[in-house]
Amino acid sequence: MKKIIVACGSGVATSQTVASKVNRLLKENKVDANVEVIDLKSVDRHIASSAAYIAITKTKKEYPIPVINGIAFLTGIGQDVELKKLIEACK
Amino acid sequence: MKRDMLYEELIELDMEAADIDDFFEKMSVKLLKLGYVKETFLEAIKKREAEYPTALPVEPYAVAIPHTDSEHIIKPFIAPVRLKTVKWCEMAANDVEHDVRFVFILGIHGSNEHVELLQVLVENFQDAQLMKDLLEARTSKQYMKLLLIMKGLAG
Repeated sequence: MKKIIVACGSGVATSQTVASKVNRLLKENKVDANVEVIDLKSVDRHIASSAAYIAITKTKKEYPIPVINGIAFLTGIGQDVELKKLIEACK
Repeated sequence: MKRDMLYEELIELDMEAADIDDFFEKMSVKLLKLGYVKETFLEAIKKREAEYPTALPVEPYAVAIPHTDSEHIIKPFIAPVRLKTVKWCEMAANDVEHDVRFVFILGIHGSNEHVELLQVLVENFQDAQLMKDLLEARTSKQYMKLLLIMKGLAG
């Protein structure tokens, strides 16, 4: 099973909201992956073991794995595009 | 998210505010007077919003969901406000501003409650018909009625 990480700037409520939504969408698309909520400070530590990173804060940093726009899953706008990227990253 | 966190007395329609600080000042006076928050609420919500903005670029009108740590809350509430648009920074980006028309101030106690509440709210924000109806509601009573039939609300 692939690991996807999600982190938000303050607290965990937003990232957990995104995580549960994405987990549901992945399941519907029969993708074998799990979204894990992590602390923003530990993103670097999780990168190597993850298939994608869903960011809810703006990130200027470059990562070796696809960075997905988490806000799309909160607004629905651009959600299909971001979900496609995520599914692609889990292949 | 429970229906009993929605209070008609907290609804404001087409409220005018110069900016978000002005908005928070006006709402804090009311929330304090009605016994929902502590004196520390105003500074706390202003500070948190400055550090971690909460506007979501929902279409056609952006929605903001400001909140504070639970220690500033006396009685859990959701304060639903319709603004005459206020510039508000996006959640993921301090440098992107949106014209916000809908605000839901979240006065919450626990973090589980917070997650559940966010899930319910963001799903409903994507309901174009609901947002249109909220925009067209003329009275607090009508506004309240629309909120009470949101999908996913519990008891």
